[in-house]
Amino acid sequence: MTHLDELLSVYLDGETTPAESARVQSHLSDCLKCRRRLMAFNEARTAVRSLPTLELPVALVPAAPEIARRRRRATWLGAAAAAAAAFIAVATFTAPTPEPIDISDLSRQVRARAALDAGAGGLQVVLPSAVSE
Amino acid sequence: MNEAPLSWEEVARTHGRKIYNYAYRLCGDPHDAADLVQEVLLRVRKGLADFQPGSFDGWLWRITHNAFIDEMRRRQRRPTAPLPESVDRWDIQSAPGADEQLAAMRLGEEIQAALMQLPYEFREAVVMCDVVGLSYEEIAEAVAVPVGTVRSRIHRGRRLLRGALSQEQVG
Repeated sequence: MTHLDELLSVYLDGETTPAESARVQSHLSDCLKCRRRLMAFNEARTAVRSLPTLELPVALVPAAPEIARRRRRATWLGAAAAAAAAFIAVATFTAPTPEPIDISDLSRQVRARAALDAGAGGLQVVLPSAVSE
Repeated sequence: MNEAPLSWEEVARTHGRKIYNYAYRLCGDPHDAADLVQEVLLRVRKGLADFQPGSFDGWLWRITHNAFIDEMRRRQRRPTAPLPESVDRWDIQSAPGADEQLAAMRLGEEIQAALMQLPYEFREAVVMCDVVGLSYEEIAEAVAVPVGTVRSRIHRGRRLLRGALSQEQVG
């Protein structure tokens, strides 16, 4: 009887052709030596397969696309907010002070209304002495 | 996977762990394994633009195999440093379930030590088959040898491994 050797290892991996599988199965049913040999190959195979899977070191893992997108979006939002704040600050300090409005030439009624609304909108209203009394 | 991924980052996320495990089981050192992953990702980044439609896994593992071979040749030209003591045994002994952890760790070390005794070609074939999970055909494509050679290398590797593990158990 010719014993099997390499074919047993190939058989364990499911890499035999249908004809080879049939030959192995037929032989194993009659051969104790090859059944033991098959078990020995299987022990070696199982030993390597039982080794724990190691995690990739964190430094080698690139950020996931969603995280990267969020980071980019947060950066843009932050930049936009900073730009808006800078614009408001500059506009506040550089905006021209409104010129005083002289209403002395308006009619008496209108002048009285203007006196009541004085101060609104940051305008300075110059009233004739007759109205302010 | 037979289509090229969009970017090297995607390759790192989907294949990085397998490449790292392949490298670690071949060289037995975490730092060298990390270096190899970086080298492979660099080559992937350069090569993705020229990737031809076909088996992406075959392409990726051919790059990985070549990077490892190049690294081995480079190391043969310079003196090697001793392996660092990577495990703190006191921490493991004082942890809960320490006996089981220690037993598993020792078993893992024995298997790794047995792997390291194999000639490189046999070790790589066994690791590609039993650690990475590649088919014989994929291994043949990656290593650029006939499938018959892959069959023979895995078989002889397992036979040597079985002998080495038996010695470890006796010793």
